[in-house]
Amino acid sequence: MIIRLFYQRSEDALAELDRKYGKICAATAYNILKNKEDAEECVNDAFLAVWNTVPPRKPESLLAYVCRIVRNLSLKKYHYNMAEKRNQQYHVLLEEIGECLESGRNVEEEMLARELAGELNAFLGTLKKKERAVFILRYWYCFSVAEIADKTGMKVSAVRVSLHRTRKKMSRYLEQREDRV
Amino acid sequence: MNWKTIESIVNGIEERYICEAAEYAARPGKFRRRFIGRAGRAAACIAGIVMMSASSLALAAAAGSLPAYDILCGILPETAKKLAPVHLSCEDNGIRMEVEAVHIQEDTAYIYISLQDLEGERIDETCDLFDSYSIRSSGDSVETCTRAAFDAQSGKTLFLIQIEQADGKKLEGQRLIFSVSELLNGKQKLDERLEEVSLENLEEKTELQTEISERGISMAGGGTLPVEQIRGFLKEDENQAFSPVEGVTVTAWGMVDGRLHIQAHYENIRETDNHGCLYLKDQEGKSILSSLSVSFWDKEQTGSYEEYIFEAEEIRELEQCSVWGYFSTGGERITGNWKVEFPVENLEVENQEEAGN
Repeated sequence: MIIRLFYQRSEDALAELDRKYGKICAATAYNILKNKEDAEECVNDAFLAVWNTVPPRKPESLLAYVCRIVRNLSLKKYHYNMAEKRNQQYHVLLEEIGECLESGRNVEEEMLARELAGELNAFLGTLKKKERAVFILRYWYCFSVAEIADKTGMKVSAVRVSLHRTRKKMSRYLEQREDRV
Repeated sequence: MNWKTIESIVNGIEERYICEAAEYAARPGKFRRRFIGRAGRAAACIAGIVMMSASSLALAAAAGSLPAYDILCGILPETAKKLAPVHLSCEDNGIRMEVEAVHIQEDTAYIYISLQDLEGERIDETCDLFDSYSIRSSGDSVETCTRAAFDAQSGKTLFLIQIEQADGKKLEGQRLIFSVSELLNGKQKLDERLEEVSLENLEEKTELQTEISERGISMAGGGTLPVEQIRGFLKEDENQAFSPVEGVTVTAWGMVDGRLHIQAHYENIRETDNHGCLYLKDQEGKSILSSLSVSFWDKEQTGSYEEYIFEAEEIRELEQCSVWGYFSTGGERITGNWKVEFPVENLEVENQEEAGN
């Protein structure tokens, strides 16, 4: 329905987008940038990008489309701004998952990224729904462990154990796939 | 692998998984999910629908069976509205539960429910539903329940139920059943230094117990110590044991394989909500949680031991640290059968008298 408003170039389109997805976009941006003003700027830029690209694009999932734009803009801003001042939390989660994605394959980084992205999705398909959601909340939405515990009703310790086990499973899964290549 | 590559990989996660997790990401604050076999019951009801006549359905709905009511809503919506029972308050064991207010804002409903002791003062600001509550709705929604306030004048404790619609359908008009079977009241909380535990000249514990009935493990301190690395757990040491508060005993402490173990026993956890946490504070007052804690049943299977394990070599000047305990204990357990059932629509207190209890 919101996409229809974009196609009609209605003024209500952005208001509806903000009403429905504003909070999750703001949380995604803030999780990466840890700065309210920067996060707001990224969300606004993302909404403008959606306005400028829909139409002609007609995303199947507007939520995923706008969240992906927010995330990319936030990461760009993060790397541009944060040369000295790091968002500890974001780098911790990059390191966490980086270890499991390490591969002995001898290919260009770009090709490696594409290959591993495909395998990551295949791996995610093997997980139970909640396990997968916890993983995505951590590494895509960049929520802290405590925030994930709040949102899922799990204990903090259970979230940590779930992430730890999923990373271990992912390492094993990717190693087995590599052996077969 | 550089960070750009890692980010590219993560960025390639498929939309369906991002949307699936968004369901959780959009949730506010504390959340607890309660489903009592809804999927199973709904399936059974749908399978049985061809065998049931409209009058049977009507009877089932009048008896307050939610899945039957769902079916009735689909076939005979006007009949469903007439038959739907509305119980805005109930009393049992001298305690009254009442729906105070319902407010709907977009796809979220906020419902205030009160509990009041009509015979005495068993309800106060510490009233806890002891995980015994259940929230059932006729739609696909996510519900949470938290204690909101205590009014000393009326003796009412208010609980806030928040319902967020999950399937895009309208929230208004859905039926909600909120039920409680146990209350816990009068709990005490304590957070203090345990002077009796000194970390100087710690004893190396060699007699350990290895056969335990494990209840669970926790890594609240952010550690990654696998429980498989723990060779055994402390036995109670009567030369060390002391009780900082009724219902809790610190039973032993010492070093095992280079790690500091401190053990506590929580009495009668099946009847009370006795629980707590032992932690350290360094000389600067910074709290240090255990790398791993393991809880296991006592012999009677009524109380629980919890052993808090710290990686000693990761703690600077361990012997200068102090040991602290946070405990939540006591409380009077009150049982009963409290249930309210009502439509989710804007409702203020004064309307209850018109609706009739």
